[in-house]
Amino acid sequence: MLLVENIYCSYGNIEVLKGISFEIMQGQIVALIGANGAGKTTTLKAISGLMPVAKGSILFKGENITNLTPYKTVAKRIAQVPEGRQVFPELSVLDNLLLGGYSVKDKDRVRNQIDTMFRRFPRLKERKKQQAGTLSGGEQQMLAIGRALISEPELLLLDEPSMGLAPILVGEVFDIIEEIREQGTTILLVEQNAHMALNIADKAYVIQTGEIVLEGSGEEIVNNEEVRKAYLAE
Amino acid sequence: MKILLNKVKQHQVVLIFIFLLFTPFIVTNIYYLHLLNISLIMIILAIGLNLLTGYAGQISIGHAAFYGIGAYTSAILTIRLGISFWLALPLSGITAAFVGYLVGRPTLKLKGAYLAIASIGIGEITQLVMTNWTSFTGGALGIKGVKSPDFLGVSLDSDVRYFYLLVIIAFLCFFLTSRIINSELGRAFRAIKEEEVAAQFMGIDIARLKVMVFVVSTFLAGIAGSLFAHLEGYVSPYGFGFNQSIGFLIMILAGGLGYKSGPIIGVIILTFAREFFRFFNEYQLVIYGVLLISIIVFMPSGISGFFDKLMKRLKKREVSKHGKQHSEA
Repeated sequence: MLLVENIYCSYGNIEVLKGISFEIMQGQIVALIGANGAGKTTTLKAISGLMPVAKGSILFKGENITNLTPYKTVAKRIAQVPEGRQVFPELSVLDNLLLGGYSVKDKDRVRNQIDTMFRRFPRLKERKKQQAGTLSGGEQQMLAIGRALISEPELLLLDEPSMGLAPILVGEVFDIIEEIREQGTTILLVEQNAHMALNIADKAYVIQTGEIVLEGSGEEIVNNEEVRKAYLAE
Repeated sequence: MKILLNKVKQHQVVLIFIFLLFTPFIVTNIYYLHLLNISLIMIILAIGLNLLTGYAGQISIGHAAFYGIGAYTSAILTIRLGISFWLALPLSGITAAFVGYLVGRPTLKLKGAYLAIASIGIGEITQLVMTNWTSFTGGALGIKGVKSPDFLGVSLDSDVRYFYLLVIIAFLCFFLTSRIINSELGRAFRAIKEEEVAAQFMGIDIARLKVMVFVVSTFLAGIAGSLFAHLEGYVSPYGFGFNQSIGFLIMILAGGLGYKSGPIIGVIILTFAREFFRFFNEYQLVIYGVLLISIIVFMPSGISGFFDKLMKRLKKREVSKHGKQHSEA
């Protein structure tokens, strides 16, 4: 579904991605794990068009989407939940969700999707008129995920969804991610919480200083000696 | 409940309109009425500036230039080319908006304060052109003899008659921007103001929308400029410079950024406060300054924001009181 081929990106003179390649199949959860500064978020930014790709190509369902502006990527039905949640803090919960449907022409569909989201996250319904910035961290993460799903994306990019959440909530977020996949959305998950990510991933890639150093099924990676040492603190 | 609230609002609007109809009979002092007219013109501009800054989060420090471009366009079109005011008015808006587009298009693509800087530049350039291109703009003396508009054979040559024209146009501009604010577009503007990156992930073409809001806002500034020229009867480079641009920003800031009533309240209060402080003679500006600082310190979200929050708090208290009574019963 998504084919990333040998991409290079740099911030000024510093090359942060040095030929990243990976593939995501329809219906999979693919995890991208690695230490801080390895290039995980940059990879997501390259896919969504926020970061210029100097070399290499990104194909989505066979179509070249390399260096497409972000709003056009969204129109191809690739949605992203940015790092650190980034809800619109002064807008209401409902406004946040409505913005999730900005790219959708059929507004009845947006209404339906919002109702579905409210059923899935009843807490958001209770607080729909509240400013999003007043929600708890967990609720904001649910809102950010819910908002991304309004446009019914085919591919969902999740950037550190567990960041800054209490352990119970992290579990809840990962349950939701699996649920989203069951409903037919393909997921690319970037995580520092490697353990949780590998548990639900069909396929995983380990990224180190801008290069993919290891790939395999979630299970294979979890059982890899080096990975256990480096990322799972065992 | 929502329908009821809308009805209340409709009643409010009708009441305000009726009140405005009688204003010229209440404000019989022609000087104050003239000041009210100037305020209405500045309200039209401030409504556009509030849309740009208060809702979409983009800062223009050169809005007086677009005000001036509108004023000069109208003066030149009506005097030199003999075009009717009713055609010159929209053309002034369009001319200002076109210049706005030329400035906004390259600068709004970039992140950060580029529009703010470029708008200072366009302000300076406009001043220079107005002052030095004497054959076209009349130089420092400006252009005299800008005629009052005719409406169905009646010349709107008095402040009373002009007042009604301004009220109608100001109302139209208010409704136009309110419609934008309440639409999906308005929501997208606020999203851009709050989190540009996240707004892009919503599929918002932020560069296009920023240019669009800047064009609307400069269009309103141009309309205001035209109305100003035909009220005063002349245009000159004074009053369209940097200080005036800052003055407009202060007005929407004091009124309350991102509140629909903000620009109206800000313009009226600051314009009339200055007049009332005249009585303090040389201390006038000092007291005006103290007023501004007090507003910013004690009402950081502006006058409208302050009262909006106050009302919400009162309503909340009432609701919780009612809730208690229910549970007690």
